[in-house]
Amino acid sequence: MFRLPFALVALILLPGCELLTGLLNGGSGMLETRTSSVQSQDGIATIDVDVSGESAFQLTATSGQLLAVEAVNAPDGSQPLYWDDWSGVNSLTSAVWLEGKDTVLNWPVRQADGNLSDGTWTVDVAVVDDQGYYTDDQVDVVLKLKDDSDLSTGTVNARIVYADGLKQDSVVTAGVQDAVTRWAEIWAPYGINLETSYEDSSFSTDQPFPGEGSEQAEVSSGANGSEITVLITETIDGSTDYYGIAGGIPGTLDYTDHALVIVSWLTNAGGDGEFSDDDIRLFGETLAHEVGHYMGLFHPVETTFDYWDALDDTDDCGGQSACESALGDNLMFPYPVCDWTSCTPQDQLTSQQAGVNQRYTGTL
Amino acid sequence: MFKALSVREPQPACADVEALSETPVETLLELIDKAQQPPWVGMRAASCLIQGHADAVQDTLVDWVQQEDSRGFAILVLNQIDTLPQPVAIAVATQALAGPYASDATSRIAKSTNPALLALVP
Ligand SMILES: [Zn+2]
Repeated sequence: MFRLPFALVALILLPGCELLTGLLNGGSGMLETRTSSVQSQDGIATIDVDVSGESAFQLTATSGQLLAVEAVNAPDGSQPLYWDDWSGVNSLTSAVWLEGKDTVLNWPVRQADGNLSDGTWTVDVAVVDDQGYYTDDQVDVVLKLKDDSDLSTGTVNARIVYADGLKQDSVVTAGVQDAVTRWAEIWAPYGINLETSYEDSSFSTDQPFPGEGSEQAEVSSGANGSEITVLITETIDGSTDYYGIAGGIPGTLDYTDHALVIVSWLTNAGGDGEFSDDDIRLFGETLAHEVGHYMGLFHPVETTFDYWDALDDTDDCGGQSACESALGDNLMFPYPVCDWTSCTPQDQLTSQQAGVNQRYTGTL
Repeated sequence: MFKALSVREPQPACADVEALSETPVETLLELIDKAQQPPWVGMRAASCLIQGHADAVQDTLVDWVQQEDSRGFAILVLNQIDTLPQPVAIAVATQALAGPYASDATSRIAKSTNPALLALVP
């Protein structure tokens, strides 16, 4: 049997298969970690998720073959997610895309997906060879479940890691800290409290895309299991073309080479290499935007204006003018709306967008 | 071209951007000079000049490493010094090592694989 769609980006796996259970307190909620290994049968690895009072879970699966979530099955026998329902012009989660040898699912994604009822949920993960045919392999699984009864408020822990030498550059550190302040201001009206820590490192100031760098699993390994790692670099993939990039939609709380958001200080500072007030505002918006991707948000509309997110309260606009008018102030709009000298503030989230970020398993 | 260079991700390809103008070098230089926000418009425009038109804009590249208030452009060109044609690279490196960003220049030129550039590092 053949399985589509393939996504564009090839990913690299980092397997892990020890069996452990741990509890971690990241904010008002609790996070529990369970790891296991599952052998697929007829191309499907069926992963049980026992729920007892938890409000969301995140599944990170890795294997020697391509992986994608096929279906999510509820304890009452219903199937709230089937991959082929999300292969069209609306995007719910990149977990259903065959991108590489790992996949990350956060469930539920939206308020419309319902609550996480008690009982045994199952997640069917498709195991596919590089020709697109179902095959069998061992799948290593890290499950994180959050026990947080209040999905209207939460705390996100972000770990800011400076690449080699940047923590000694006062222009960079002052700019980052001011931008983080702006990021926290953007999130506050939506009930998301931002907690940050700062670290020095000797990681390269030029990083390839998440999943393609030899250092990136090591970067994420310093996180405590509930944090999102933001690596401040000078360049991404050898250039300043990229302002920032997230390791997944959603990204994992586990330790993999995709487990980070990478942001270039230099692209943000611009040609003068200094941070103006406008630069700081945009930098803060982009940090919130990229981490918003990591917490499960897609652009409400893509720059081709023919793909949209899966939310009912973000306009399914068509065309540049209509979309800039309807969504130009939205934090997740794909580009800032500017007139050469200034840009429209992009700090708005809809109720359903905020709900996605609140349901992210790392929002505690 | 300004709109094409504004997107957060994915990054635009220089060839696609330059196809939007009949005089791409002049338009890229105008964007660098006049587009203040978002900051990555100027950086992407500068990157396209470095990658595809270094010979034509050698004086501009040298200006970046010599003048005040252009540390971002200076670091950008210094990070790509090994991709420049040899005469341009020598001119940029020589002036950079004597300019206001000599510290940024020294650490970056020292990573070059070009013996002629390494010989310039004090
Ligand atoms: Zn984006």
